[in-house]
Amino acid sequence: MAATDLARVGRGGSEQISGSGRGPGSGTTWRRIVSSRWCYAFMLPSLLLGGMFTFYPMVMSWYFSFFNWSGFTAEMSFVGLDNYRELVRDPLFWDAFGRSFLFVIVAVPIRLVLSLLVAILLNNQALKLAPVFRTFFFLPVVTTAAIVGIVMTFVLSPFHGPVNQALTGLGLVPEPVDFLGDPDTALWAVMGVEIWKSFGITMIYWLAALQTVPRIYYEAAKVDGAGRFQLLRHITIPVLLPFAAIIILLTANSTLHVFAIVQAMTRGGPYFSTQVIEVYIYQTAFAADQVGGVPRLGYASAAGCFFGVVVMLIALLQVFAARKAAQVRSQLVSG
Amino acid sequence: MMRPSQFGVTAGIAGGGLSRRQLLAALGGAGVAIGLSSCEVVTDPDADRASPSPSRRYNIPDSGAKLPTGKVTFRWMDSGDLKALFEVPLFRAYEQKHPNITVDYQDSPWDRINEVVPLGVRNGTAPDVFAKPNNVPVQVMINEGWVAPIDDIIPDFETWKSRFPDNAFIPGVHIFNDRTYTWPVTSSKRYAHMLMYDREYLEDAGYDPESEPLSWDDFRAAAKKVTQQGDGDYYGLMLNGQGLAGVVGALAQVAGARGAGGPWIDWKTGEYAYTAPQVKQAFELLLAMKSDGSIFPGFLSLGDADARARMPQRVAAMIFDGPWDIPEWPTINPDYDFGVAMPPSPTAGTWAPANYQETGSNQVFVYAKSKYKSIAGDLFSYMGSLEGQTNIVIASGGNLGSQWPEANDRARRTDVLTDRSKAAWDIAERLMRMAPMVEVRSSEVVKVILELKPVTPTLADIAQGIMSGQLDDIDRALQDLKDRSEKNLDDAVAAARAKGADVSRDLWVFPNWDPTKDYTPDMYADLA
Repeated sequence: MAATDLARVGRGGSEQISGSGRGPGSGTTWRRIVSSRWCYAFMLPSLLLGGMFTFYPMVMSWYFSFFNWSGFTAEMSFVGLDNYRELVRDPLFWDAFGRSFLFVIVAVPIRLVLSLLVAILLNNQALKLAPVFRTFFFLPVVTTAAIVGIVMTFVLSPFHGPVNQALTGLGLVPEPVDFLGDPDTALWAVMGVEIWKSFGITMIYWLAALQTVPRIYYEAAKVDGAGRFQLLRHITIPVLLPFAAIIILLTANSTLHVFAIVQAMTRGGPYFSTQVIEVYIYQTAFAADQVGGVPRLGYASAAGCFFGVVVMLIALLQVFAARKAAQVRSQLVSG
Repeated sequence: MMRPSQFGVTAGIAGGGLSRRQLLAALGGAGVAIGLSSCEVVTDPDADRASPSPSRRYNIPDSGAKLPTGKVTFRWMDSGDLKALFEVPLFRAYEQKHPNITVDYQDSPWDRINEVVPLGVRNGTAPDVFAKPNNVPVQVMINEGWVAPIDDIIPDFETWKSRFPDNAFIPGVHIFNDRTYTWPVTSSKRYAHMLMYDREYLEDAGYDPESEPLSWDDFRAAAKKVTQQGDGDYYGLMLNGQGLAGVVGALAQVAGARGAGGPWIDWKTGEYAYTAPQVKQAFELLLAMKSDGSIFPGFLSLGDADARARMPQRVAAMIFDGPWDIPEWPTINPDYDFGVAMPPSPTAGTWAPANYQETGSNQVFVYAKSKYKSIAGDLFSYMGSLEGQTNIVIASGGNLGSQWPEANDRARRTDVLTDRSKAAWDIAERLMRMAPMVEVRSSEVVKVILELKPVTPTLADIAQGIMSGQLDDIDRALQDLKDRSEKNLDDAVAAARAKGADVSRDLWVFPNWDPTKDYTPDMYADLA
């Protein structure tokens, strides 16, 4: 989501208030469409691409989830809800499901808080090197996840890996830690790498949000004698609240999609200890040759759809929270 | 050749040098150069003495195929690897002979083949010849009309086919509905778990596995001693998280577990072999070595390609791997001196046989909608000739074998094969015995295979669990795997029967199987 989108979200409350009247294109729906034809024309490519590559696959996933299908035969047997029934009885699915949410519960707050703090620091116009630091923090975001994953396996390696060399050199651990081979540390290690890699994008969201805070608020508060903490507590945080809801949503969403980094670092191992839901779906749908048997695209689609519904419910809750927060902000702005 | 997936990039990073694919490209390039130089320095397999002599290496005869006369591009996709060393110069020689034909050889990783071939078939752009995607059963490719039979494509097919050994063409593997769809380009008789070791490290520790094979106790002691010598810079044994099940299977098999490895079925009883006591013993050996600290740190998160690529960097003394390392390692580290030996066994110098199924390997298929099937037939005709088969063995440095004993003998008489390749060949000859194949017994079995669901956790998963300490009751984990596998096969048989297949679990039982001998066509006949 671009900064402009965020700004739009932030303005949500006031737009609702001012948008109650009918615009110049009022009249029949057709007349409105004709008068806005260029808007629709410009939207068309996006609609087509979205339809082809987002909505069609989504709809087809639902369709496939009702079939027993390997993914490459013309013959598909309709099994109704059997895939879903099997899924809810599959302990590996629930374990993977739990790991994905553990990832969200732990990684999202850390990313949000750290990136907010850095964003507040970098938003200070007195900091001359802010653009350099912004680039520095953003670089991992644009680096391919698979490459980051592979490089990190060397960085975290217990055999002459720099992290272990530092830890043992400083006397913090008596012997190298097998971060990715130990089931007690593997998920946390992958989580740490994912937080580091994606931290920059959340920071950019916060920076965009911070730049919408009117400076006059700060100036007025300073005139009234407010200190830094009071500015943060009474101005920055309330104004950022509606953004926070949407940033949490975006961060949680990205944290649920960590397939590339997990696949590159551990392939879900050792013994499923890092198998998040996307890896589970991939291994069920496409990697059956590695475990014997025929791929089960229908079953994997059911897993994807089930997971998608849960994510959607969470997103709806967050949208609701965002609206509430926007109302709070509009009251703050009008008050 | 079915090989675990390769990640050249990781090998490159690990080695700080050439990746596996880069190496093969380089070797392929060298092969091209040799092929194009044609009548220059090549080996005459017919010479009695082992020395190079002038001979045309790719003497492609006219097979009688009706080839296109216009300018055409013929596309061929497979996994490259060792066979690319033969195919690249073959294709360049073929282009020289037929200037109107360009062979677009797509040497691709398996992930790409798995994606590109099904998509290409759907939209009508599949390569003219392609390797089977890993997760698509042959029967499906045939039922769905992806591939064409080769009976009508290869000129004088029956004569061509008759030159192969008996049972080389197997119903349910190569033949479906009385039509032949593919052929055994190379033999599957290659031992994938030889003990490959750093000579200097083992000699320093007082061991010489090539001349004095190791017992399990020696093996453990050697790994421990090497690790002590290494003092953190190198370790006794290299393993990897993906390949643990294969190593356990190989160790259990040479210790006498019938049916360990491969499909993991004891053909004597027709039941899964996971609970054989030797399997647990193999796990216990590896766990003991782990507690000794003799295994390379972080092995559980290593892939097979990473582990393999680290050996020439001399970070570990021993690894269980196949002959594909033999041409690769010297290019990563030319000074790396490694030995190729029999795997360790519980009692030094005695090994139970390792069973394999001679399905052939490196099979390719002809796309049903290809306009240039005759080119495929022309190339297959040469590849399946004595010269073609001999050249496959020679070009791979002996690391690919032919199903034709004569081709292997001719290749062996040359000086192209290194001592290591010959040692690998000897190990395969000494250890490997052909196991029965249920597909040969009944082509209906394919319908069962189509009904098989993946059994997870697999042995590979369980091996990780045991080695990482997540599973501490080995017996229970293996019994559970056996129970789940039995039920899965029973269910698949029942599902196939419900759809009209004439199958039963009895087909999996071969009472006359003797693991110490090759299972011959006569033995199948005796069952009838």
